[in-house]
Amino acid sequence: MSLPLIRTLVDRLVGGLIVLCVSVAAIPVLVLLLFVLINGLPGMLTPGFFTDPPYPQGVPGGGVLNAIIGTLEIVGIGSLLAVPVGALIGIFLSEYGRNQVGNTVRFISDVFTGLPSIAFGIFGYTVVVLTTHHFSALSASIALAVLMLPVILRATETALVLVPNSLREAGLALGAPRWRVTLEIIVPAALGGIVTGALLAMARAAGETAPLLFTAFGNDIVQTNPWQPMGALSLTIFRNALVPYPNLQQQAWAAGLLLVALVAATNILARIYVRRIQR
Amino acid sequence: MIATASMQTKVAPPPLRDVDAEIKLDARHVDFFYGDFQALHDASLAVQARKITALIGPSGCGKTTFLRVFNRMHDLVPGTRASGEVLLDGHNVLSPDTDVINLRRQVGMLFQRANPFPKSIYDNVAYGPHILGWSKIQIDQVVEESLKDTGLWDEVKDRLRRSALNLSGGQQQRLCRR
Repeated sequence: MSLPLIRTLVDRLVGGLIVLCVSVAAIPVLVLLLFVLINGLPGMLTPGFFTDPPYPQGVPGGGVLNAIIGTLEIVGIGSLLAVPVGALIGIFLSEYGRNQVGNTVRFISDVFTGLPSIAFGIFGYTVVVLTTHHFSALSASIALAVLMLPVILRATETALVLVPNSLREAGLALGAPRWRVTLEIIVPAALGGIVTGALLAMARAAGETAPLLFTAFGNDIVQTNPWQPMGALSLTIFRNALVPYPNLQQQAWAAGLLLVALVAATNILARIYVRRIQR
Repeated sequence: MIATASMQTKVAPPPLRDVDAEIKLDARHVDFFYGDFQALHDASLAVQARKITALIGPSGCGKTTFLRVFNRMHDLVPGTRASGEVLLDGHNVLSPDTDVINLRRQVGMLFQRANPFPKSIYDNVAYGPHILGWSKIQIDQVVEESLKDTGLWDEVKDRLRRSALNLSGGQQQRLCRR
């Protein structure tokens, strides 16, 4: 067999292998999305889905307004707590953290990443719920913030480390102090990566159920006060999926679809925003 | 001030000193180490004020290393160490009480590879004066003058707010030269 022929064969083989691997990874995700779409769409189109609170079990109709508001508020407050702190720690790790302090922070953060999410729920329960004697959206936000923190700080650090050193040197060679180079040159250069990291963390937090079970607790009434128990889309999915009423099961599917859509929408919007300011 | 000079790293060159010349920067017996590796061996050089000095040598002989010592850029690389003296207007740059930030405002440096900031063309030129705390009007003026000096003005005047990364390599080089 001639050499070029072998080469062509190997080329085809490896190419085919790659396509196969991509398919194995992508097909389950696509099937999942399709499933959620098919099962969730009818529930979403039910009148009142977006505008009504849930009705008592057995009563037809009702919506998930309580859960929509709850998810937005809980994740929103959680992000407000976690993103600034996480980004600052990430900046510290990348620009000033090549030492024992940095390594310790990194180690702790890695341990946190591996922790099961229900542990963060226990944290929120012991630290906030037990001390305030009350289930609350705030306790859920704090639990989610701690869960988001390691993801954000590691993503920030990675994005900053990727900024070429020549940019740091160029800034410093102009006589700029280190903190100004970091804030005015390095961070803007890495903004895309930082925002992506924050979004990944938010997306993960929005889908978490376990940390909410004994912090936000769930609430069938539309509630906006963060000191009160609150519903969330993930809690709606969890509770309604286990109930023998078809209309509630359908609502669970629809809540799942809505959650997917929310996460996708934030992702797309943030990407457009980053692209715009980097032009 | 442009600090470039002819030298060899192993042997100090006979100082070509014009008796009347004003010496702006005087490097004396500089040794430089990257960890255990000694990159500069007793390098000495006198740079005259208002003259252009060129520093020539084969790749890897330490030209850039030597230059970086002049505004303490080696501080940024962990494990490096410089000894000897570098006198700038009589003050030893290498002494620990040197205000490094102030020093770098006096000793400018242009890098081998063009490295524009990922910002707009305007911001790239304006960053230096911006750090020095100049007013917006002064900065506007200096940006226009400098771009005219480098001959870039006509090419970029309509897109000062666009990213400098869209410029060609040669344009980037000229932008950084500012």
